[in-house]
Amino acid sequence: MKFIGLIISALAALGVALNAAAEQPPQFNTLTITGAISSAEDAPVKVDLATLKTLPVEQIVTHNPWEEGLHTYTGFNPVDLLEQLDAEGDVLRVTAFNQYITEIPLSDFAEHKAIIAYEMDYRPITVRNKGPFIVIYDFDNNAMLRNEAYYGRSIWQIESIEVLDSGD
Amino acid sequence: MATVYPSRLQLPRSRRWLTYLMVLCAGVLAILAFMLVPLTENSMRLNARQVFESSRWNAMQLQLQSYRLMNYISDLEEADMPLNGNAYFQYDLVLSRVDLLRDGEIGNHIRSFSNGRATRLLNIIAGELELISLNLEHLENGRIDQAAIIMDRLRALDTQITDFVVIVNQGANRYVTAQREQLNLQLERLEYIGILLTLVAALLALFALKSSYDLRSLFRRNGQLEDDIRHLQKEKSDVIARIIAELKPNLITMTGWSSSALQSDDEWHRQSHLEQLSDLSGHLLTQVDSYHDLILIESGQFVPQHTEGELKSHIEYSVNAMKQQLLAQNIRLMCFFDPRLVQSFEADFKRLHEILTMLLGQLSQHCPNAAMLVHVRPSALPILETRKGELAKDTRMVQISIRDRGQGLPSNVQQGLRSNPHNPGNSIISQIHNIGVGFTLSQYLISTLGGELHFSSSTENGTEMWVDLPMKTVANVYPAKRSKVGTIAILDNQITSDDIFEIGLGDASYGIEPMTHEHLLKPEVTSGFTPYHAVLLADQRILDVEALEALLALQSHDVKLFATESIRRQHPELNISAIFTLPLTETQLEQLICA
Repeated sequence: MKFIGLIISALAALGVALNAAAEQPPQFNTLTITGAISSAEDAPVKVDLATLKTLPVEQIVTHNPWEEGLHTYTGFNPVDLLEQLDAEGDVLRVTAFNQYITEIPLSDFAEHKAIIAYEMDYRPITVRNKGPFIVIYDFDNNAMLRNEAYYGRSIWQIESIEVLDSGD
Repeated sequence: MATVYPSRLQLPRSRRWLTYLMVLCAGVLAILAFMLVPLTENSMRLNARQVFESSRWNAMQLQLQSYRLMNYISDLEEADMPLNGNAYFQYDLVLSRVDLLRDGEIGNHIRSFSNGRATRLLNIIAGELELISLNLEHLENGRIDQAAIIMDRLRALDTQITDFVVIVNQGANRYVTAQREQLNLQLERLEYIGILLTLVAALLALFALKSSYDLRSLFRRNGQLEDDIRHLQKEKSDVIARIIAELKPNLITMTGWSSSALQSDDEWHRQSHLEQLSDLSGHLLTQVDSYHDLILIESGQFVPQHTEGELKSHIEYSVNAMKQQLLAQNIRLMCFFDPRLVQSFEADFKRLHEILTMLLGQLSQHCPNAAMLVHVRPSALPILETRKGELAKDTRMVQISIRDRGQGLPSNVQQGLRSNPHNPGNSIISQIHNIGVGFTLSQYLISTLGGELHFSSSTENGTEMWVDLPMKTVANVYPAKRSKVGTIAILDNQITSDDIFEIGLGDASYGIEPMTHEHLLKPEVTSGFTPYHAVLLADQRILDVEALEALLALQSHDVKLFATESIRRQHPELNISAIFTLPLTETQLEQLICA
């Protein structure tokens, strides 16, 4: 009986959790941009999901090591965002909610057509499912990207982006 | 002349093996190279699989996020209410790690760690966390008392999370160790294959080097052969030019005689020209046959054609075939046979005819106005050991001696005749250059028929040639012994005492003796005790008075006189018993004696 009760409780908790995820508070769907942004005068810029969705939409259909199967990722190219923000950098210092930090050259988005996805299979990406923002590379169509360097740059649960100018 | 033998066209055994080895090496090389593909692919896959790192990283991230959640919960105060989903957010961060460790590549990977203990632990952790979600809901609804309960539950979960991290770490270590071992093994294999590849490539390089040397020598030999072919073509054209040069005079003569015969009203002349034409055309046919035989000998396709026949008739036929040429050179040819010879032989008479006509034709060019004697007799030469097996038991060597009292052969011809035709340095074409087509053909035909050709030549004594040929006796029956009934003297200054022999005419035997004009005038010759049965006036010069008197004296002692029509006309005072024509053969002489 105790076991059945445990299962029922678990299912109930799962339902609550899923519900909670679907109704994710808006403050977690916001991307904070800092760094070499001339228009912001060193103040952080907060961009919400609705704004991000106004940017040109990019799509990548690929496999990746963290998910089973083929998925369609929809998102934007940070180059477009930085153009709107009048940012001058060439490297993005991306920080996740768990404080994991990685640096991504802007050329990855220009040349390898990487994107920052906000939808997976046409649904918003929850925090639990590594959302709300994930950097996605087209691993299926470019074998050169299938290595640790690019896996490491595929950061998820993105909290903020700092635009850096490496000076190169 | 260089000959390309079929065996030289095939690769020698060593070269064949070399080629097989090269093919084998190329095959091994291809197999080894092919083996490299899956091995390298496998090694790359092994090297690229960093999933163990991810499992370790995510396990630690799980622990870290759980501490962060605990930290967040423990710091909550009444003033923080309402939480507005912040508690759920922190909770989701923890659960996102749980999901990562349960699903995907990492989930599959850790499933085998500690016989599934890691997965079981993760399921318990996930279950516990799901239960905490109920308390979280209350907390989000403003019940701060739930914080303590959540903290207790999280503290209770901490040991299991720590165990899980330890198990994942150990499993990842074991996994990476196994992967490394496998990778090392693959690398070792790659190393062996690399060594093998190097060895095979080195071998292949050696074979290629050897082949390049062979190829170079082949090109060199090919170039040499091309030069030889060009040289041969030039020599062939030279030979054809020589053949044409030999045939042309006879053809021109024939044309001349044909025209004369057509234009002449005199029946005797016409008949005479037609006879000459017939003789000469026969001779031309023999020449053409001879050239054909020469080509057959050169190409190694010569086959003797043995037939049975009477030797005397064949030789006399050959001698008579040369009549026109001999008369043109004013050569007095006489042909005699040794009575010890059997009559019939099995031999290649067609080629014997070619040999004799060619030799007589060649010799006649060097003895104009001379006497020439053909004497056929048993040869003292043995049959060569090497030829005994090929020839039958009844084979005998027969010698045909041709002697002239001419000016002898030129030294280059003598030198060429002395050289062995089968000497590797000698070739038919070079011999033709040295001694002409006729002598070359005779030399090669005699040699090919298993015979030998010897000669002696000087300006003082003229030339003597001995042709020794093996002939098979048809019936081992020798002629019956004939009794000598007399001696026939040949009046010719060029017939010397060396030419004394006996011949058989019918049932009787006659001695043949030379008689010079000086000898004719000796009293013992013209006396009544003369031993001569007949005197044959071979010399065609006009006889002087003394000679005429001597001959008349002989005639008075019943010595018969045989002469040519020309002598008879010049000396009507002589009572010529019978007329003979040159060349004189034994058959003709027998008819003279009988007459």
